[in-house]
Amino acid sequence: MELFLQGASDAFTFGAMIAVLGGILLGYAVGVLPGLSRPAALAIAVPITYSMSPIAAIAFLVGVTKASAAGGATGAILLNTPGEPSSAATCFDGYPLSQKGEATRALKVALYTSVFGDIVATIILIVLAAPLASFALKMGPVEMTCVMIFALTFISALSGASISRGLISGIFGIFLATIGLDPESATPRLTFGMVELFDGIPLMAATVGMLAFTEMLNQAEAFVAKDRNKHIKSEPTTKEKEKRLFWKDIRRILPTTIKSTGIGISAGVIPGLGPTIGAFLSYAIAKQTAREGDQFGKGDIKGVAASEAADNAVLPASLIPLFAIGLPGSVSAAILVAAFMLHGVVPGPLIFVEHPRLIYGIYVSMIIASIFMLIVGRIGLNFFAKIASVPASIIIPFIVLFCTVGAYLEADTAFSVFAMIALGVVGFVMQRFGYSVITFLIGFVVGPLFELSLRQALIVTNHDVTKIIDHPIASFFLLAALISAVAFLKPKKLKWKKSV
Amino acid sequence: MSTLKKSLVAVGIAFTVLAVSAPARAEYPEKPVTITVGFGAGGGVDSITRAASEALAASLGQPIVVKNKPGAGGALAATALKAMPNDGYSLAATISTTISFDPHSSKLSYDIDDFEYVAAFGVFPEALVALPSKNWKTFADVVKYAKESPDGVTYASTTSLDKVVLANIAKSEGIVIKPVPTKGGAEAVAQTLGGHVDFAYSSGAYYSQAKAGNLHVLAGLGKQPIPGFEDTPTLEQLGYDISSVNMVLYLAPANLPKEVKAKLVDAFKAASKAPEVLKLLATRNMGSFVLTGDDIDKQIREQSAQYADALK
Repeated sequence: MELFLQGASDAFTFGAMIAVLGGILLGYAVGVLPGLSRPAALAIAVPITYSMSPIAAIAFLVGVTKASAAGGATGAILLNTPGEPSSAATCFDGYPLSQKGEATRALKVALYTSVFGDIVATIILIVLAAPLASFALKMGPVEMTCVMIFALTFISALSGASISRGLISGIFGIFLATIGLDPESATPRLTFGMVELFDGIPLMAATVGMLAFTEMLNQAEAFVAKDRNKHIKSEPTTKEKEKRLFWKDIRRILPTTIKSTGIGISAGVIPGLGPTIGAFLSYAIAKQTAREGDQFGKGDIKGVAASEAADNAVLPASLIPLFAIGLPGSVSAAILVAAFMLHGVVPGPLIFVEHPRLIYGIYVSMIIASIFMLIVGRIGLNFFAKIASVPASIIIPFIVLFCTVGAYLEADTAFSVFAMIALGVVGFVMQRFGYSVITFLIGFVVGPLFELSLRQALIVTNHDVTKIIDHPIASFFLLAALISAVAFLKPKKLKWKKSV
Repeated sequence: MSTLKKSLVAVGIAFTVLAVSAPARAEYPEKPVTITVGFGAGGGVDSITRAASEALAASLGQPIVVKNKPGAGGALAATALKAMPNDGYSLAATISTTISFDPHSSKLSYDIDDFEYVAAFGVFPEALVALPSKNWKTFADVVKYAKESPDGVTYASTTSLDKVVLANIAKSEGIVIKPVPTKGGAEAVAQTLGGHVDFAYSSGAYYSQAKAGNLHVLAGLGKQPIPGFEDTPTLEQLGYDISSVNMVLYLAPANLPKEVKAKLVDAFKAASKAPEVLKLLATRNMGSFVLTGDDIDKQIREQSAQYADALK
């Protein structure tokens, strides 16, 4: 208890508080701006922390990661352009809401569910880190393969109008993700001798290009075609009724928010899944379990809640293996490991025994970060809502600029910028012909994870597929994949009958 | 041509002559030196380079700019460096295997002769580790176990290098050692802790787990024992003619002017003794071993030749 109080008092020092606030502000800015994303923000932020105290450094980085997840919804709702790939699922319902003149309401839902998911996951991290970390260790190659199969079935749920086109673009995503060094033999695949492609198509170039740049092309096209009714027209509504969030709204979205937070936490604990997949899974599950009267895809606040609560719950949960046993389970966690090491703290199974005061301090800082996130987000909301009334002729060039900078920051090469533009054009053509860029991205993100797990699983089971019976968790996910595949492919017709 | 134009041309020529002759007179370094780190911000190579940069700046009298160009295990930064002028203003920081191993194992547009080697800091404590419950004392017990099991043993692999090392051992012992590819040290350690593989190769992520007793170190890959695990034999001590000495390597484009290289070597020598560098090396359990100038050149060529042989 004394150590906890000492840690808490470290977290409440002026320097640490300023660091958290600074992190939140930087993270929010990066989150709101499409094109600039979390990895870029962290790459910039890590060198800044070199001169800070350990607690301030970690609090700052945690602030950046948390707030970028929360800020990502803003662009998704107002411009149909997610600020972060993990907020892509927020577009489905956020943008229709904003077109209906309910932008502020959607932004509120996004902010409150983000903070809810974040706080709950942070508390779970503090209370249940040890048992959840040992669960994470049980997720071996066989289990992960089945989790990936399960995740891939969600392509069909998010395909949009045509399942076959959704599957085609999903497989196209998996195909493009095979570019790079073969994970087993390190043989270059489809790199055409370009060393820039050894690590594959840069992830940020793909997400920024496909999500933000493609949408800017769409809007620029509408703008050039003088079809001004079609481009951004979600004027902030003045009607109070649509701006406020009522108690009945909160009651309506609460079950979805709780469920989505749970999904986000699970996705965070399972190594490698990350916030983007977590948010898509959560949205797809919410959509699939929709009740009568829900209007997923047409502007339902439940859809915004499902995506945002899960997105924000992933990050604290992905830190569980780090704090419990000193192993990073995600990209963000790996960056925190670097920050620990820079300050002479070696993350490991003994981190809690050796540095209890620091860890308690970080826990308290994480809660402070959630509260700051709520305040900054609430104040910023009124300003952000005005973005919607900025003319497209100003918005588009700025976002294209941010896309270019964001792509460049990932690897400091012009190659990433060209890749981003090329993929943006591909995405534009794909959308024009009804091929979803969302399912493309699911394939692109899950593909390499699936390939690696599958090949690992084949080696450890000696190429004996029947050994899956020895892996109960894997069998469970495989069964879940089967159920979801059947459910996703079927209920469309069933539901139709119901509503007719 | 008008008089104005004529005089402009004259002035232009005068400036060009000045610009061309200026570097010859000035003494290196007269502008900031850029070190491109081949790995991401916050990683081992990056943090050690940033820690060294202040001491380097102090001895060179010019600021050091540290940039990150992560990708392909440092090969991206090495490829970019090859195209830079050999004036001593562009350096890269990679790991030694980026130069000594990678050009043998994959088709890259550079090889060992494209660079000059200025210095190398610290040695990664590369090791083979397993769960203590396996009851293996050293790697010799793994070999014994593998000889008795028809399917052989599996291990979590993180680099092409470890695959070559273990494939060589497997060949000489007549056993089956199956590498399970992973994305890096943290995953390799997690796979081992979770019992999904028999053992793992790790270049540093295992260390705190081993100190806590969650993992047992079976063998070191270097020429020296691993700091803190001096009783654990190295692969060479176990009778295998192969080793890996992986260090943080500083390189420049080939044909660096002699006096420039001498200055850089001296600056790196001084930086290697800087307290912040030593502290970071200690945190990462990389010892305080430093090679500069001709010594690192010799070692990198030796290692390169050894890997070329092993890959045959």
